[in-house]
Amino acid sequence: MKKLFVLVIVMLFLLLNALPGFGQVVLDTGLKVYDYADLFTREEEDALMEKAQRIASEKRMDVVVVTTDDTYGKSSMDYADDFFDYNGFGYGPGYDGVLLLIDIGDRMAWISTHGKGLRVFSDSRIDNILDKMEGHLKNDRFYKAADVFLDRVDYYLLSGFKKSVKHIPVYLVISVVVAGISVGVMASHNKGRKTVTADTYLDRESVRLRDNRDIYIRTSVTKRDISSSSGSSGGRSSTHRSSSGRSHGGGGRSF
Amino acid sequence: MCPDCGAEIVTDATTAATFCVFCHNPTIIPARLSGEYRPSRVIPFKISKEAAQKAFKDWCRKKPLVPAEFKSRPQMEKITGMYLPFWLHDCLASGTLHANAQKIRRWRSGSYEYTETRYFQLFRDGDMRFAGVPADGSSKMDDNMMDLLEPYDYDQMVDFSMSYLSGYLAEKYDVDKDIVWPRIKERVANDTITQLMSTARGYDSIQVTHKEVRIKSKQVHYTLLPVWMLIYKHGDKKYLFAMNGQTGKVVGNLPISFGRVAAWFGGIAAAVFATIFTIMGVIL
Repeated sequence: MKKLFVLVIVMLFLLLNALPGFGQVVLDTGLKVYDYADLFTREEEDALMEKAQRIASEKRMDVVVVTTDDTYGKSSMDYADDFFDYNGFGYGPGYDGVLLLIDIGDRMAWISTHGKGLRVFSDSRIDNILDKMEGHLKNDRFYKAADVFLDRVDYYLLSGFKKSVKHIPVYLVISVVVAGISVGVMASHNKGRKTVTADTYLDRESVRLRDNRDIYIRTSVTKRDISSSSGSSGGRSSTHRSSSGRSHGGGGRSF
Repeated sequence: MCPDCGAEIVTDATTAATFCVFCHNPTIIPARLSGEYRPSRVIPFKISKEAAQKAFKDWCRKKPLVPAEFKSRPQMEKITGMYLPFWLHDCLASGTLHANAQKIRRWRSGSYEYTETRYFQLFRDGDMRFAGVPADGSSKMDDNMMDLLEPYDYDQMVDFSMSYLSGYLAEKYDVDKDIVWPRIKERVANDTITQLMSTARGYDSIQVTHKEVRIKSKQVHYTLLPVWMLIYKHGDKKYLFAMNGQTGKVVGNLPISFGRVAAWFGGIAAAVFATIFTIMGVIL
């Protein structure tokens, strides 16, 4: 009986060990970058770490990058959500954070959002980030892809005002163009406008049409497929519940 | 010679009525208004000098780029009423127009958008009469500027009499009616085509494939038309303010103050920038 009990414990321990997140309960959540699939060089990993740690501390939002070559039969979404939940990531009572999983086994990238991150990273923004990463992922430039991810996260976590600051050159161009057109219109008003039309001097009674024919020639009909055009999801964030019972947002793409 | 005070009056070769600089009496030079220079008709002034000055002031107020000195009172005093020579042509026009035209209809059914185009050929041929198409007969005046003063209301046109000129300046023509004819012809031709085009209704697009207009001038009337004028020098350029002396319609090329242009440009740019910046700050 005692033997059986020990065996069950050992089995459980082995099983738990096989699942990342359970076995590595003492994972250092301060590192932010966990390159299990070994996709980054030492220097790249350091650079990513530094950037992620800076963003996380500046924005009070956990930022995590994970790579793996084996999800132990889980979907990328579940793996990413569980990695976040069971390793104790997330800041504050809402476990605010965002996680990028690069699953090289299934060649799938998944962005998982939690707490406040859920609201900040709407479906369209996640799509936007994935768009920017896709090219790098397809060409195995994983460091570049992760770097782009961190940059976009950093950008979206700015307040609206600070984001606005980043676009000042664009606003300047628009302002100058609008002002130029306005002044141009004002200057053109310094000239007179024509107020006679084609019939000002016409004697209406005198018009005699000798020939007035509209002849129908033919009809052509063309058709165009419009089924592919569908609206985008705007500022909505779709959510799902993970095994831990917490609510997550996110989106992914295979590459 | 001024018939009143005997002083010598200096005039241009085309001046037909003016003032004596010494006694301010109106003077008419009859030789420049008789024979071939005798106008057949005239439209008398309907707008008083005070009304013209007020109109000038109101007009300037709406032009933010005009230098301040242009709007000043002494400037306004210089507004003068002048009868200008115009050739009014009565014409007969025959036009022919051929065109291709299409009617387009779009609708959706299932996942397809259908576009149906029906093709037509249009034929138009017609005669019409134009009365009193004007062209200015004074080489001193800018043709385009004078065109902008139109239209005059011909119902108030009367047979010419010297008495209408009293108190105003007047010019005699120095551009002959044959010289303005090409301008008239071009104008009438365009108007004829526009008229024929206007009979083609209900098409989404029309392409003219053939057009032809034949014009005959039936009659030309030498007519004096009333204009309030102000000539203004800014730098070394001359600017003209002119006003239809019958209807009050105003035209002119106004000087532009670069200071004002810069100020408006800067102001608008700053306002637009601030607005975008704020709006985008809220949206992003």
